Amino acid sequence: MTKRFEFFPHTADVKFRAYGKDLAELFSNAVSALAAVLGGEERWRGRATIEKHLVLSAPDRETLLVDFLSEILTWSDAEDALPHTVIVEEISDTSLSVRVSGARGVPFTNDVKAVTYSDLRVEQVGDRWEADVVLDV
Amino acid sequence: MQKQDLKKLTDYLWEIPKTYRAAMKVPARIYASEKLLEKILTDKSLEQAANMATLPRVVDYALAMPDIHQGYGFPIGGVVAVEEEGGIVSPGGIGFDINCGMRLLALPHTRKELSPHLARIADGIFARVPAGVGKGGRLRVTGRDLDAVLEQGAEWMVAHGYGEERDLAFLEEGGRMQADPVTVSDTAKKRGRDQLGTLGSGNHFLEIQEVADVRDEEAARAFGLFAGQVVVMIHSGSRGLGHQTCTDYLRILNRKLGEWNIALPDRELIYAPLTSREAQNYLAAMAAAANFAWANRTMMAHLVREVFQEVLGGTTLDPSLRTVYDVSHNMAKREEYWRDGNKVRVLVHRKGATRAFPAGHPQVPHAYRNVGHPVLIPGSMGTSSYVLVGTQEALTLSFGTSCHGAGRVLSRHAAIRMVDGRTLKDTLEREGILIRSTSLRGLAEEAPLAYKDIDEVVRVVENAGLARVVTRHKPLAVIKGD
Repeated sequence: MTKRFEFFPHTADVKFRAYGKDLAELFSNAVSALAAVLGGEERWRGRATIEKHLVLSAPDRETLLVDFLSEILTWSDAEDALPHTVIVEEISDTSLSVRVSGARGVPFTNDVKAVTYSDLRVEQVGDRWEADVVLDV
Repeated sequence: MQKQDLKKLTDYLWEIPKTYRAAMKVPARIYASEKLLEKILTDKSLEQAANMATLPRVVDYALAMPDIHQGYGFPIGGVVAVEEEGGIVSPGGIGFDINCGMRLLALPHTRKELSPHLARIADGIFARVPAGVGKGGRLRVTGRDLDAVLEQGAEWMVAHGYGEERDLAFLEEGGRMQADPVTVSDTAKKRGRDQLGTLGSGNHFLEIQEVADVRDEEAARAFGLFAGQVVVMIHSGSRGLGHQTCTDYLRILNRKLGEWNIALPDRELIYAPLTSREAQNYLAAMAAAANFAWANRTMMAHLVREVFQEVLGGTTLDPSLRTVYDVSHNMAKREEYWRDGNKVRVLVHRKGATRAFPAGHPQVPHAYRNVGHPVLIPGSMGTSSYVLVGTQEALTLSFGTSCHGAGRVLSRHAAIRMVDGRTLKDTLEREGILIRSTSLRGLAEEAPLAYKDIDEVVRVVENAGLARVVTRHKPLAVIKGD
């Protein structure tokens, strides 16, 4: 099975690298990584679901990813929802239209303060895409 | 960066010359010992110190405190003062947790007198003050009331019965800065609406401590501190509201990069010219988030007072907790300094660095005017905390700034691999420290070995002439979230 994401050492925070065959899969796996940090990727089954439709544009791919993950983080904090399913309707280097579903009432294990621009990277490596993101925890 | 890139100025002061990188406009200076430097060189913090020196209009040097470690754009422990004239503001120089800071309260009793009641008090605080991830408080503030909190900070809390009028004089800025709630987004307000009076998680904590050592008798007396005394330290910030505010403005500024034609060595150093509307809005929002944090610490202090009142009410002990001081370590402040006989107006960014103003400074509370204000330095879990006071020299050396704590050396991941939370808890409790935490893993992440040696950090600050130690405290009980 292809790796969706992995974590790297970072002194005060959490750094992950997400992978994907295209931007859509990459962005979706980045959300999974964020959810894994929030806590309890597997504990959402059976819980009530809420949905959010996100339409964003940004000057470049990297900003798009950070803004996207920030919106999801804010939504998960304000609505107490752990994101688990991402459906990418449309995505380009500078815009996206995505539906995210989250499970209500899953107790989070970690408090993520913000998605940062630190060490940020979104690029194609060979035949797949990679993104590096640092989360302030 | 390697050690040979640094110039050793004294045993406690190192310099990255501005020739290290073409974009540096001033040198960067790091307060550290040889010993601390070894650890500091293992992450990117010194590169970030060099990055700070590339900002426009930096006065003197970009500075770093001995507890420096890697952050975003700015290192944690970074201090940069820019001229107001032609200057800038960089949200990364304040941090996501706007007005993360400390409050110190003092009980008029010794540990010995309190010890029969300590466990009940620790339990009571743990039950009363929400700590940990996603834990909301009992006070839910929305709409016009939340805007009022953002505008009035600690004053709002006192006016609504959650604090004492006389506390206010002992809070930095009186617990209220000039702010505009309209500059804080609805999203940020939504994140903050049920977080007043909550501790948060990570390295935030509430500690009951004993004054183990008095090193400066006169200053301790002025602060009302004595050997063996019980004090309470609260470490917390502006919670989700502050984090979101910083995120919001980084996003806004990121979209202006092209228009302002700014070249950055690191995206996270993004800044706005002070003359811009965006800069003014950020500063007004930063102040609002700062007010939220002061209101938050005031509410927690109130809850702690309730617990002491309830537990000690029936006894002969006086349960009253006096506010000693409250000071921030993530903030930007407009200040004035003398340089070459001229008054220079600057905006000082302090991220993971604490203001330390000396005797005579107008911003020191009247009651402490002969000494300087207390500088509250939390140790990592289970280790000493300190109260310092700033020196006159620090005004020249570091814009009246000191360290803020111990600074991390190990990632959370590495810490939990090396430390078992249960074993750590047992060890600390065997040392006589009561632990009340919502998560053992959270404890392991905050294990002392994940941090620099606080005693060494404080020793450097003192030997460098930035501040001197007034008291050293040891923990009696630690209350924290995950």
